[in-house]
Amino acid sequence: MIPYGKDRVANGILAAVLGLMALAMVYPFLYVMFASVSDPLVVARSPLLFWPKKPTLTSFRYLFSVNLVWIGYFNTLVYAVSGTALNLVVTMLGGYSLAHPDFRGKRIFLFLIVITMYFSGGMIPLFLVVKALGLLDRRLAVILPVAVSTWNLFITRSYIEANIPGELRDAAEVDGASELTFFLRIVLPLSQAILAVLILFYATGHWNSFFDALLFLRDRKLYPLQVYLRELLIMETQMDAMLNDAVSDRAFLVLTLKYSIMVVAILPLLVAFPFVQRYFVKGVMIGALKG
Amino acid sequence: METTGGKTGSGRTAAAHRPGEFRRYLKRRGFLLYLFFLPVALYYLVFHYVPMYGVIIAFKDFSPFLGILRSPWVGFEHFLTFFRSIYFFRLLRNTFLISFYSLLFGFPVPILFALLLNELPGRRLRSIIQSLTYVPHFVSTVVVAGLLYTFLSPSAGFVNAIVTGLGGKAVDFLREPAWFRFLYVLSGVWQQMGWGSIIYVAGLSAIDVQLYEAADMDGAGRLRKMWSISLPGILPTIVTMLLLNLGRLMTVGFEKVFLLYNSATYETADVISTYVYRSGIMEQQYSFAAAVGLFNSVVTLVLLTGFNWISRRMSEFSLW
Repeated sequence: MIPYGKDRVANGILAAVLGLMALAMVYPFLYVMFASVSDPLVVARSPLLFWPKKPTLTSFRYLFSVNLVWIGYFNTLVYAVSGTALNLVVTMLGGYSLAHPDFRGKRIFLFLIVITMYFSGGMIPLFLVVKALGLLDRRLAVILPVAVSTWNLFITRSYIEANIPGELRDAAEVDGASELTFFLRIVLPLSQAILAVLILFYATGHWNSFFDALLFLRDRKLYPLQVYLRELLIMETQMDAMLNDAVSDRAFLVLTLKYSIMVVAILPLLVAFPFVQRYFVKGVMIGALKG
Repeated sequence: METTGGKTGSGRTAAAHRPGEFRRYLKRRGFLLYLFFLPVALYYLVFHYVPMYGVIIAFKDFSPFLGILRSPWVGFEHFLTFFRSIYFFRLLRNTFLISFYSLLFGFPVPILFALLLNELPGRRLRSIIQSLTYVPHFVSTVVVAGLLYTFLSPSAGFVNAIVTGLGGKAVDFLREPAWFRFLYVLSGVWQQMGWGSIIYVAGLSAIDVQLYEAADMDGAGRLRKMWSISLPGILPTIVTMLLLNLGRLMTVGFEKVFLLYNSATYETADVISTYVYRSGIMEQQYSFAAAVGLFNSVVTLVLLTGFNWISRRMSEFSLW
């Protein structure tokens, strides 16, 4: 243990400063939650909220009067689940082969992958490729172009290199296990930690992804949640449909409606976060060790 | 990058290139390994290397009807058009300044936070505080933009409620060019401080405790220990991270600018990637936009390679 300073006053100030910093990180989310269930007029008058004031669920009633959010949620779930499944298969298989000591051509393949971290064709050629493949306005357009992340591929490779001892491979070979059996029966069960890391990184990536959908999808029925969120929060294009029977204090109601939209968007994350955050950190550390 | 020795199993031997040997290798395990690698190879081929080839449309007048090969060559015409356009200087300036300010403020804050956190007694309190600071990192850019739009709303946002409460006039922050960079950088620091500090916190916890104990014997104060033990302990990490970040000086994430800017703030907010999107995707000037994007890629490539080279020489750490 580091010998911490014994000065109580200094430690108290330090704890207060760091506590305030941590609060600044999460207070916006708390504010949004309190504001979403408070009376719009009260919110507008009192800038700081530490609990809901004059609680009401009006904004959620307006929000769910149209089914945009549900369509977005459903699409995002589809993309996150199927996309992550594909990510896992491709990344594990690729990471395993790149970690194998007897994979011929490994250096060349690694070099070709690293190049893509330095140089890319850019937005327009990628768009034209996706277009040429006939993927525009298909669900696959937001899944296939992000089938692998180079960072995740590399941390998977590092993990397998560090955690699957060569002796194990030799022993399996002596026992006559094929490479496939070895991968399925030995490597996968020993890779639970990296699988958890990959699921979290990839799934949050899909959940938060916005740009691919903006670029490749025009069909509103296919929009993921984030694209609808943009329409609701920033462009305000869908507000009229929701607020058609609200006449007075529209500006305040619009704002409260936005707060409730954000609550719907971030609540799953905030609920899951305490349980999964250590895996995120683990992923960063695997990557940092390797460089 | 390359660390594995070929010690285990039947590694590459001197006989590796004898005819027939490769066939035996394929039969033994090579075929299956290549099969495992195939999806990754296809992915990089289709979504990275084909677009790299496709970037030649920057030197052509690409028409979707003629295709890439049959579209006529125009040389550097699109690049010259871009360099001469009134947007060129503005885009270059905005791209550079936004990422420069992000680095200037976004880089030191996680280090300071990690140094302070390291001083705090109480393992549990430390880990709770650290975990809380990660949260913003996992929120989508759209929601971060949404937070800014709602909090800063001129009619009913709470920031303007404070401003008017103090007797000021409500400001439409997101339509004021002067506020754009400040808001972009501030929200970036807020979002990335905790996550960016992970690597420094880990580095600090790996410093030998005996160093601190010895300093205590010598009567060193707290700040003195921070300055002379903690900071030097993570200095290699700091240098490496700085050099890698410098390499990205001409890349500004498309998403946040796109979500926060509007025609009123183009003057300070429009960056190369958003301009590529508007001219390429919205106006379908594919070749011109590809040229603008290629210009940005090349500048980034030069910066990245340069700073990576320096990093490798200075700290034995590099991207590869």
